[in-house]
Amino acid sequence: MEAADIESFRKKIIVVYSPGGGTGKSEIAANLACCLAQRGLRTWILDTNTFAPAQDIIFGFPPGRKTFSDFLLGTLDSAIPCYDISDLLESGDAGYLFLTPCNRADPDIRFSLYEHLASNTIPYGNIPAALFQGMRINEIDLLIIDTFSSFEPINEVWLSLTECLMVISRINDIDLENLKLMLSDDHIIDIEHKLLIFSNVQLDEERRALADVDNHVMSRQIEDGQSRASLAEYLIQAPMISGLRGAGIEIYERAFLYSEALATFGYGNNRKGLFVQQKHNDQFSATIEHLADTILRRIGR
Amino acid sequence: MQSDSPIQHLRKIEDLIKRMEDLSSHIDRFQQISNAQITELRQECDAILAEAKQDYHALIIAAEKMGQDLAPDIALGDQRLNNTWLALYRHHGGATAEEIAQDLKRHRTTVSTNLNTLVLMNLAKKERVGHEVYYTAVLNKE
Repeated sequence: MEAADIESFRKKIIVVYSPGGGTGKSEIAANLACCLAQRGLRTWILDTNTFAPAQDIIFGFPPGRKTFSDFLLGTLDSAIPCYDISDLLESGDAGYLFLTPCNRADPDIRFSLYEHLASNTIPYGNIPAALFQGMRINEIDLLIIDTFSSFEPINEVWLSLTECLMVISRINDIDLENLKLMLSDDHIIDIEHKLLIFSNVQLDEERRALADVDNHVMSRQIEDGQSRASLAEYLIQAPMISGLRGAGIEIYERAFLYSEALATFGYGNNRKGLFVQQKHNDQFSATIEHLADTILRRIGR
Repeated sequence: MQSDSPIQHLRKIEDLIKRMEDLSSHIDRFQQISNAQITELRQECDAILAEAKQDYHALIIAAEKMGQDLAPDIALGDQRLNNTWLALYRHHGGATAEEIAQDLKRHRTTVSTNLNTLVLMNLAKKERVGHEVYYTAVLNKE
């Protein structure tokens, strides 16, 4: 592989990370991947959360096929399994969507992987070659990596490989304190583009944030999207978040509001949370569309 | 041989065995001396090499402190890969991911990922020696 190819591949990798579980990271990653594929890009979403996988459920991927977990265990050849799931896209969409899920059903694989991760015997050094190979074979325009929300060594691999990090956080004490901790880590400081996205923001009828968040931040009215002052400007003034200034992370100008569709997310054909399977007129979809524009600008497309 | 008596025959064989044993013992002795000499030479080489590498490393660090950049420009866009390559370049003759991680004050997995990326870019070489994997900076891509 040429050095220029690899530099170009690295610019196509977006890592989605969070300071804690339950931020909506996987749903945002999945929907962003769908949205980018609908715009004609060959998009690959890689679920690396071996502890609590999500992408197989979101995309309704059937069990029994080889996964990223099998790759990590070294039971496959050097390739990371990558499945074309473009049939989920609407007809007429020019792009392609590829998925690599993590193992969910096989307890032996889960246990064995846990042992390997705990004893740090995963051959992490093989990952870059396999990843770049997968991107080359499938002619990938964008790779979205859905991660573990932790400081597991495997996350260091993803953080080393990307130049574009998306951090998804809720607005509460735990997430914000952990976020500060995270942003002080050299491995994250080193990443060139960092975008902080707030999610699960709840508003009442007057569009004020509900109790769990307004203690710190939302004492004034939030207007998502078409605000007089942008949400980012508003958020940056809030005491809890202002501490993030100077951390070298950009606060995304919109936020994902609490979504009923995602909260009541279902299996099978009732995948209400999946962008491609609903009407694109809700706040969640609008924010995904806007985020896709932002990401494409960041990576210069 | 035909005319020899059995006793003479036996003596001859005993003599042959003795000569063979002596020769074999000589070979062992020569081999020991030779091995000792080779080991001595190897130790001397290793010591000179270690001193040269240490001087090389110290010279580059000292030059950097004085604001002189002795490292070649490999024009890598990514600062992290660039820093990893420079750290590797300072270790003439190779270094493990652990050593580079210590130099850069980064976790081993991070550095290992960067080193393996440099290998894929043909900017570093990787070689396994026993249980250790050594990486060496490649100066000329061609």
